[in-house]
Amino acid sequence: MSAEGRGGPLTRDTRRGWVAGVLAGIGDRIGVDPLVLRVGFVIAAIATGGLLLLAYLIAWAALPAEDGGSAFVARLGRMPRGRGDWRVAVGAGLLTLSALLAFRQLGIWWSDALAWPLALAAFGVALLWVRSPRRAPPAAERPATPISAPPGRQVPPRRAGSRLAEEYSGAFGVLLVVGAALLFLSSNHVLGGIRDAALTAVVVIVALGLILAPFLWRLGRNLAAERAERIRSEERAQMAAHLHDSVLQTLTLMQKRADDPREVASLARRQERELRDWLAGDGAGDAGERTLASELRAVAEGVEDDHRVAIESVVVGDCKLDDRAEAVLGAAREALLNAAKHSGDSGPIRVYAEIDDAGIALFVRDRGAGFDPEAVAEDRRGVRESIVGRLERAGGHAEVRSNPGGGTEVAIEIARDGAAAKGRS
Amino acid sequence: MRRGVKFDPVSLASGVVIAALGVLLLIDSAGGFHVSVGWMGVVLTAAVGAIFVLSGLHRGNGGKGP
Repeated sequence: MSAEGRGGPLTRDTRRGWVAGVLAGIGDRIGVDPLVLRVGFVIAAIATGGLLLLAYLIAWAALPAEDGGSAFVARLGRMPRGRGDWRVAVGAGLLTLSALLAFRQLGIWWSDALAWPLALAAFGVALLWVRSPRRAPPAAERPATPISAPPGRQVPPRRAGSRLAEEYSGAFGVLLVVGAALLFLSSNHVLGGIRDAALTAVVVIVALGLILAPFLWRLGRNLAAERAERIRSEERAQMAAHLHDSVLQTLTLMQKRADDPREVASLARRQERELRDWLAGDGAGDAGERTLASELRAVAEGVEDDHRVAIESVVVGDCKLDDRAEAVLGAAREALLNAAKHSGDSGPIRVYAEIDDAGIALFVRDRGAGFDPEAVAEDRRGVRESIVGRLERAGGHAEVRSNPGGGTEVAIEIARDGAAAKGRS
Repeated sequence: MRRGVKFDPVSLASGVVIAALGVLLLIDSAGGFHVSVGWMGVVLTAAVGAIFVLSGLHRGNGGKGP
């Protein structure tokens, strides 16, 4: 015998196991030589008419392997939901049915009155279990988050077909379980006794339903109308409160500062941003994972507020804020600050960012006075270090294109997969 | 330009399973041994179930399926 068992969860010892390592894992866990368990298992399997073999199969499916391999059941549970799901479910059901039929042919069988209802109930419960909602996935990378998103943009609803299929699969599971119960009662001759009582109850319920149908119909319609009116009323109240708290307050502020056009423009842009976010349902409470698009938006808003300039931004795609995205964000912040400081009243600063699996490309343009990059003194390290140097250290590339009177463009490119950024025009 | 033939493990496994069924039926017809209706049910459900599971797992793991 082994000296002692080890702690931790029960696993299959596939290295020392003869078949699937279930008995070796149990022996290791409780500190008993697996050989003793194997002898006992064979005797018990013969004594129970092979029933213990079924228990072994279940244990093999449910227990993870010691070398890190997860249990078969767990692997099925982690499979992404998609078109392959129903095939696995149907296939597993047919294989189980085949195993049951084989046991029946071999004579390893209790009785049809017990086994088939149990099998039906198991399938029904499995369907209901699969259909039950799982934990919501973490906030995924958004496909596109325009900083100045057009109002009214909504997340597309799920397809009606998938919802219908889920509903039907759940209903089918319930039917299977109910059918299993009825089959069990019928096989044991219990159903005949309660059939009359059930029929009487059904007839009484149908009669009552027919009598009360007009009243119930009107009641249902009234309740639905009342609920719809309540929802509309709540939405109106919510919109009125929001307009009062934001738009009216901003308009009051703008009247008070009408002598400062930049301040008025800044207030108007801030209010526009807030209204767009609110209309797009992207307002408060969106405190999920930090992404490049959301951080770019925050940077642009901060520069707008601090320097009273207009920034028009478009971001296509999004990604997590890793080291490369941080470098792009830092360079973009520096480029925006430079543009805000030096472009004057030459119109809005434009930011365009394109983020995909291959890389990130970001452009900051202004129509300011511009400058000659070659004439910048060596000791001026703002552009050289904070933009170009920062990108090069992160494996990317940044270029400042400017000439006196022609505005300035900062082009930033970096690959996301570790490859060197390819030059784009 | 002619594109290369792609290897599809699900189709291959399904073909092997169906071929094995055919061999079984052939031996049964030739009188090699008798497969009862009960055992035929076991074999058929197992074959179809295996094909479904293979196809589902292949798609679930990112394959495009047959």
